[in-house]
Amino acid sequence: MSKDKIRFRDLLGFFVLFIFAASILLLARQYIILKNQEGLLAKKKTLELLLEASNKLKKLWHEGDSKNVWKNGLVKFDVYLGTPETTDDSYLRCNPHFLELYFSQYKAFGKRQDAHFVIYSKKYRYLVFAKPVWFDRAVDGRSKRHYKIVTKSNSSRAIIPNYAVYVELYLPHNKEVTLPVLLEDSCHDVYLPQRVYGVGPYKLGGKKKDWTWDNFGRDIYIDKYLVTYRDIAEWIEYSNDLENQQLHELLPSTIEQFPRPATNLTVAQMRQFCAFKGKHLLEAHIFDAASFYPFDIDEPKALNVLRGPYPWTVRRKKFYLARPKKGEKNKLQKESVEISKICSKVYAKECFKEYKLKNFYTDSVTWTGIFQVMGGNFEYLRNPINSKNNLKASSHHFSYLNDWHQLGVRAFWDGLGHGVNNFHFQNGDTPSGQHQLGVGFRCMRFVAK
Amino acid sequence: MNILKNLFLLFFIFSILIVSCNPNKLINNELKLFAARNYINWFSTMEVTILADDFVNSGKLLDRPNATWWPLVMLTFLGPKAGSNRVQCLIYKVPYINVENSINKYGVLKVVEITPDDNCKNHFSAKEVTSVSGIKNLRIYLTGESKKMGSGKRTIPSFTMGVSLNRYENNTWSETKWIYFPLMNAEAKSLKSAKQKKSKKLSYVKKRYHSSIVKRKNPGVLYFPLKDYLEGPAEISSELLGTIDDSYPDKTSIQCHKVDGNCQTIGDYICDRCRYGWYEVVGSACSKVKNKYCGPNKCGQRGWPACPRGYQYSRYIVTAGCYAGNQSGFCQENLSTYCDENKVLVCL
Repeated sequence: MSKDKIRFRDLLGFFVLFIFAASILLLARQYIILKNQEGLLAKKKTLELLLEASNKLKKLWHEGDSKNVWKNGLVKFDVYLGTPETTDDSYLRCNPHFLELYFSQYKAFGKRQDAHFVIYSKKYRYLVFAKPVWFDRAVDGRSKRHYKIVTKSNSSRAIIPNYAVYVELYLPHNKEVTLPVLLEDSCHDVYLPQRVYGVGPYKLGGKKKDWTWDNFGRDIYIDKYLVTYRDIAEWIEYSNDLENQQLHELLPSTIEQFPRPATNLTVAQMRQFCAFKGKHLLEAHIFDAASFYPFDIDEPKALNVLRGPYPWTVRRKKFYLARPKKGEKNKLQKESVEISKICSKVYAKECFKEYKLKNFYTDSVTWTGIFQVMGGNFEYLRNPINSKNNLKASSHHFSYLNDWHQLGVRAFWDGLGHGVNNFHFQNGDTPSGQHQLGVGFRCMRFVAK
Repeated sequence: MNILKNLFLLFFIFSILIVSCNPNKLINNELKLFAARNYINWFSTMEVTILADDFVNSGKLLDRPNATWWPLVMLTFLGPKAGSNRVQCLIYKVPYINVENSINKYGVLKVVEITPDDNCKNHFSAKEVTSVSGIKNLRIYLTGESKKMGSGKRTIPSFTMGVSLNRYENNTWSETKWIYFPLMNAEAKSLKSAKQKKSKKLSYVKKRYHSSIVKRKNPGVLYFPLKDYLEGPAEISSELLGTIDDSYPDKTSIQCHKVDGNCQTIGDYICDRCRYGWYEVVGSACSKVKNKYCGPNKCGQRGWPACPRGYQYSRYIVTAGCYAGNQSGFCQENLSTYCDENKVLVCL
């Protein structure tokens, strides 16, 4: 009898132990599930904060130095940005080097700027940082940069834009969760409205002599500025094309020149640069379309495309830049004109002494919003209509009285070198006293519906 | 012996207490977890297809037929690597409402994952990602612009899927709850309906002074999934097309867009996969949309396609099509236009 009692007690003990063990396992399972769920909810909260920080990142990217911190000299200067005395602050917009300057010296940009981005949510303050993601080979090969350039030419995903800046955002207390963000260039190109356009100076004789074309059904975006040495340095660093690694000799040796237009490339190199960004070399007739002020701007289908020689007016008065002497219509009176007023529109030869030109200057703009159209540097324009007219000659090589300072009046460059013999200035003056002539360029891109 | 007995009793009671521990917290979190999981997956959505056109954005209730499953929306979002986009379907089981209008079986909102070439109609065999039950009065809103929608005129942010529902919790029906899913990578043209295969909306602002950034929830910004890492220097992959040396005269250029005489696309439009940009050529019978090739543009030069001149620059009608002397294309001096074997106007 006692043996049976003992056996029953053993069985009961085992049963209770079994229930206890199963309960512990169940409890552990529920604990793990709860922890996973808390982790998921925390991840969502982190994502919401990072998305809000990405809005601030985009604002910084698009607006540049809106707080004038760089302009007022409150940060150490970056090689690629120049100085406020030599460079317009519009250069800092959509500029990855400015982003890097901000990420490395963010405390100078605000009193309570304890992080790259400070987010406020439900009375709490969250600090968001950009992660160092790229070895800066240009500096020492060891220090890391907070961004990298991603293009279709150096990556493998179709969704990646032709050119974008890659940044990763994270919260310090949850470093495993990072948000990769791609910033597209929203600052440097403009749309060419769809209408009928003419090419070159307006030819008297009406439509019979004037060559016209239209871009209805086509969407073309044109670079606002000439390509700079900073852009070329970026191309050399991030391009997958191994031949480009030998192009470091193109880069300037002094700090001040990086924001300047790149003027020592051949046409083949220019084309390769534009292709790196998914663009094409700007064509002469498209440049004219973006520069000549339309006489009848509200009528896009006007077939008689009247246009004047200057981008800032429809007036066809030839002698806008200087007035002729009394009684002598062909002799222009130099002294009667204020040089500074001329130089803000056309940076000509006389301007070196009188007027300080900043890099990326925005003084002279056309009706579509492109800059650096008259004066300044020579500019190469691929001309599929007349290949001998491929060089915008209005530049600082000529006096403001010179006839080269008109829209649509072009010279020739063979695109192979920069010696004087590589150029031909037909029917006009040639630059004097120069052995090497630099030529700038810009790109354009097509967009499909 | 008594100690053992008491120990056994203690273990037993403790076990009963643990087992009876009701994970109400888990059940009540079901909707929050559903929202969180999908928020994290869907924020990098690139493309949305509305499958229930008559329901989404209408403000109407989907309440018939009872107890049936309805695919509502299909979302395509980025996977971790090239070519690994993920596709998920949002499915709704209509609640079963009996004759007395009381709900016997509640609705279920479910998310399943399918392969990119599959269909949401096959959701029964698809892998379930997450679901939430006890639902009724479901409404879904999705628009490319911020709009006031629904009977209460609530503002739905742009490129955000808004879901409103009532849920059975703690033995009672809750007030209307709203859940928002931002779709950060979607563009206007990628919000499609199943009936209309191609969206007619514009993703770019085509006005003077505007730049070429795409209209999205955050214009000019693209997002990758959390913990995703882009590859370093790329190997040539099948997703991107063309090399920098591609040349039309050498027949190495890849055609990325082809249209017929009615301006309909033949095949797929793949010009967004061109590594070095693309250019248009003249010659198709459609004047509004042109064929396109990948690569750098050298139009107008010998052997290359003619540059587009347009069809409306002249008082005289310029006819579309491929024929010698076609005035809708132009070449450099001393070259003329001819039609080649690809029905492209070239310069010779």
